[in-house]
Amino acid sequence: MIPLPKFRYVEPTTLAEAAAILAAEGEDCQILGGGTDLVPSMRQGIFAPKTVLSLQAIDGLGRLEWSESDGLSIGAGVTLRRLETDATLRKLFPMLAQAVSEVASPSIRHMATLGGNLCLDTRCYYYNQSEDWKACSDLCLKVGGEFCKASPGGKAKKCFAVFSADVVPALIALKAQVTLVAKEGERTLDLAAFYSGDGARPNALKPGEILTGVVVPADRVGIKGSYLKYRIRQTIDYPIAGVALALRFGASGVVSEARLVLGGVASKPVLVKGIAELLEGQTLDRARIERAAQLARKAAIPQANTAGQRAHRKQMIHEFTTRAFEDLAREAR
Amino acid sequence: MNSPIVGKAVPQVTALEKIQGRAIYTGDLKQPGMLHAKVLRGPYPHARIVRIDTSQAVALPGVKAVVTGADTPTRLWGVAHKQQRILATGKVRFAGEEVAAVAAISEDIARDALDLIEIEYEELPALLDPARALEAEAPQVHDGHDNRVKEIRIARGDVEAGFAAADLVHEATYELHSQYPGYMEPMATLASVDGNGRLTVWTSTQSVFLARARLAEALDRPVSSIRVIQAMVGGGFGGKIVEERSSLIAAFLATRVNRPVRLVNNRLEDFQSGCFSVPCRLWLKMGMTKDGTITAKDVRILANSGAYAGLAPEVMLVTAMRSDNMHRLENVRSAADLVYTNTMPRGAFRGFGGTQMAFALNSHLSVMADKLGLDPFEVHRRNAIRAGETSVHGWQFGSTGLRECLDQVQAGIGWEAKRRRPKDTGVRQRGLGMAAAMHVSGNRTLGNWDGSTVVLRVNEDGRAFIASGESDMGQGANTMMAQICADELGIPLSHVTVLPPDTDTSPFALGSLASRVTINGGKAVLQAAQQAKTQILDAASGLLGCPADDLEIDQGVVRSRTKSNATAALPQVCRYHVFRHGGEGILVRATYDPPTKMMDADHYGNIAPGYSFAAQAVEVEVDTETGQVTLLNSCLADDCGKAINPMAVHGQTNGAAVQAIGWALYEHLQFEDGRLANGNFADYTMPTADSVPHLQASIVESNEPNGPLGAKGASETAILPGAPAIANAIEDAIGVRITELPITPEKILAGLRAKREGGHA
Repeated sequence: MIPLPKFRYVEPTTLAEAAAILAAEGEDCQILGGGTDLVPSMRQGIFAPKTVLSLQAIDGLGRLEWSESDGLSIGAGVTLRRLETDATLRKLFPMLAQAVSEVASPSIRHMATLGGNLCLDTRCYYYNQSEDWKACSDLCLKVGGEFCKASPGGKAKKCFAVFSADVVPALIALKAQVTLVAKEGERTLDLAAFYSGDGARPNALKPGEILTGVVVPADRVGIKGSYLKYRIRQTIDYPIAGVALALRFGASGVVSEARLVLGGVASKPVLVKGIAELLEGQTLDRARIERAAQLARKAAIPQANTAGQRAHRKQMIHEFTTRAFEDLAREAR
Repeated sequence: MNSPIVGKAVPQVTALEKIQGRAIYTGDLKQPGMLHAKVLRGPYPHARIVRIDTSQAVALPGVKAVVTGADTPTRLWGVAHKQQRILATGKVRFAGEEVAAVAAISEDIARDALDLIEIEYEELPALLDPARALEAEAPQVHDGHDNRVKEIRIARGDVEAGFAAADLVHEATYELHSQYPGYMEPMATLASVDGNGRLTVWTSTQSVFLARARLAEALDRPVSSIRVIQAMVGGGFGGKIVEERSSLIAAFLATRVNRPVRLVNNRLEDFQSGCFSVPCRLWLKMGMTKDGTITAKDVRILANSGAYAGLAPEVMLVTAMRSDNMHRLENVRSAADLVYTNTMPRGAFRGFGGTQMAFALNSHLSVMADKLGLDPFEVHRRNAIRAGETSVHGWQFGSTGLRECLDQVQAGIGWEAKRRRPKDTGVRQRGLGMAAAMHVSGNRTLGNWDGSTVVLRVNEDGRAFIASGESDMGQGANTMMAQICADELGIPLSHVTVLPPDTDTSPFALGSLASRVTINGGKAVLQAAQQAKTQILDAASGLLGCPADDLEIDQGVVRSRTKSNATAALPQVCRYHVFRHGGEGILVRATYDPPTKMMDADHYGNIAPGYSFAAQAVEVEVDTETGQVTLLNSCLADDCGKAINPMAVHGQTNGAAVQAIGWALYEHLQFEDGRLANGNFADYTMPTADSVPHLQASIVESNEPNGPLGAKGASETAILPGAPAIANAIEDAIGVRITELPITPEKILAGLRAKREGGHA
């Protein structure tokens, strides 16, 4: 067992208290949800926070509520296992339940929280290494070096570490909104806008902010969705290509809404551009599905920093996009 | 033999303490005043150590010792070549090589002290590609020596004539990659020096006596000044035989501080320092007549030893010639070269070089059978060696279960019916493949002795202690010995205790390697138990007034076969054995040294008392759009002579099947500038339960005449056929032949593309 570095553990009981601690401690404080990502990363020496702030004693972060007016509200502290097994969620948003069930393994999902999954750090062969390993050559950009070593040619000044949460593409496909709370107040933004695309700082959390939950709008009910995940093993692994597709069908199979989000192939979840324009008002046919798959393939920018060759992962985005469309087209019939 | 215990599927004798979490592994051991050690590793695959400054580390409160290569004994240690010191001196030869070590009052302080050690390196050109090792301008891994570790040249019969007589000649080149043993317990050692200067070492090892010999050599001190005790071992798979280095570092530190020192690798460190299997490029050419008879086999191997030569030369020898012995071959030739590179040392791994050739051979036989319109099962059967025969390399077979293994897996997988069904044409296509292989049970390679000695005591209460230096690493050796002993003495299994291997008290033994423990250690137990039984019955004869040959032991009671009232409980007999004039406790010793030969200089000779066989058939499904391979079924038969414990054999067979699946499909070491980039279990993807189909494991009992109660080794053989069976099934499914491991989706799709483009050409 790799020992954990020393840290102070705090477990506030109110959000206000948590926000105050976070404001005081700043960057030296890290938030603990289920710990399934933070704890192993601390063991590996990737994070060494002076303070670990657990959200588990805070009331309200465990909410999982559906209302026809406000939609589905999920607190940051809800475990993935609860999401995956919740009857209402499974009935209303089966794609979301599907995406959650693809995360890691059952034992991890029992611990892991939604908030943790949404704030998942980006991963990279050059970053997820022991300190010794990283010290062997120039540091990568994400840990203070000059260049991104995973970038083509290794000379980019932008970090290309990969974002690989499964739940996020599904939530973005469902137009989820995320709420962030700080000492100064709270703000709500589209989940899609929460992600920066910069592997070094993958999300828009400002110092002092806590992600408290997401809302899936009520009008998303009736959307057909499919989340497909490509990985080396069919369990445990992070996605090396993930596809979340949300479609609404009108009369006689005409697509009235379409959103396609990719995971595991860039430093953020990729909302594929041009999908709505291509499909809305149209019926699904082979040519349109192929065109959509090409758009997805083009939008994927995998780097050589995780398992699977880059070209192969792009091809898998194409393939899994096609499969997702075919699945939903079959369902629509 | 109507036996109540041998042949019975009982849980291993270590099972209860393990599932309760009460088994004591080395990492659980603590001693008063114990220090914790950490190791600093060189970052470069090849670099000169220009300067080391440990002064800041030494000054850190809580640090008790900081050692570097300069502090270590100058005597060189090594398996094949004496070439290593306990810590690197002069230069580092692979990324991860141990350069300095710290002993401190806590692991945290030891870790912090590592950061305070300053080392200046001068990077040298690194030799990373074994194919370049023998080029004139290649960097020298060991200064003043060329990069060739060993060359093996074997030729028997007339290979050219064999090819001339063939109706089909096929040649291909295979790339076989390196695998991490992935045992549950990373390496761990606790070393302590007592007031008399004796060194005691508890360590996770497959062989306490080889560990002691290695410690004596590396520490340059007498063998008898060292005591090695085996703690519970959480798996070895070959990596804990003689090549690991951390036990030497722990022991050296203990001698420097005169306090107990514990060094436990975490998983990341174990990947850095661990022993990996030998990768090689293997060119194979074989000739066959129309009826499937193999007429000639010609092989060339280039194998990668990494930076040092541990057991890799022996491993390569196995790759070069072992599989020849499973068939009636006459014309064989091998040219094998082992080279140094600036990569981690490679060596022993379950199968010991057999997996590499098994992949090439079975891939070849499948292709050739197809071309000749033959069934690969028939090709194996046609060529299979039989009991009573001597192979081309002089191996003598007292038992061969190869044909039965083939029969079982062919029937088990439903080969005939499934081969006849129409080929799938959709996205997902199924295919069937098979492979067969052999392994040794024992191997007379070390100093012309492959024996095993057992000291058996039967206590006054009629219960037995077995002292053996052979080691249980989780595979079930202790259970096997206890079962044989209990069976022979007529006592319950729970009345037998197998003592932990301890070089101070156990008889000398080579340990768990070469699948030798059941056949040699088990035979020694059987002979010792027979002797003890004779003493017991002689004593009982005096006690009961019956001739000894009229007596038997049954369920802990000595009874006459003829006089129903003449009985004595075993404890009564054992006490009688002691408490009388001229009495003594029951203490017997038996050594079994098998009737085998050292290989001669030409690698000829019957090296093992028995040879095990295995065959496997698998059904796969290939997704032709993603390239992903799913195993649907697996049938694996292991000829272990006699299953002393069918539950343990099944466990070994299934475990071997999974490890082979990992090697074939999932595990893939990634390197970045010679440094391992995926040395963790998130990125080094060992198969999970989800990757494994329902595994059928069947046992073939070929009754080995040399074996105890007919038994041979089990489990190493079973790892051999998995990877080629999968590759063969993939070709059956999609018509793509993969010759380079691992079989990744990328390679499958590239193969399908090439096939399509070839079709248009």
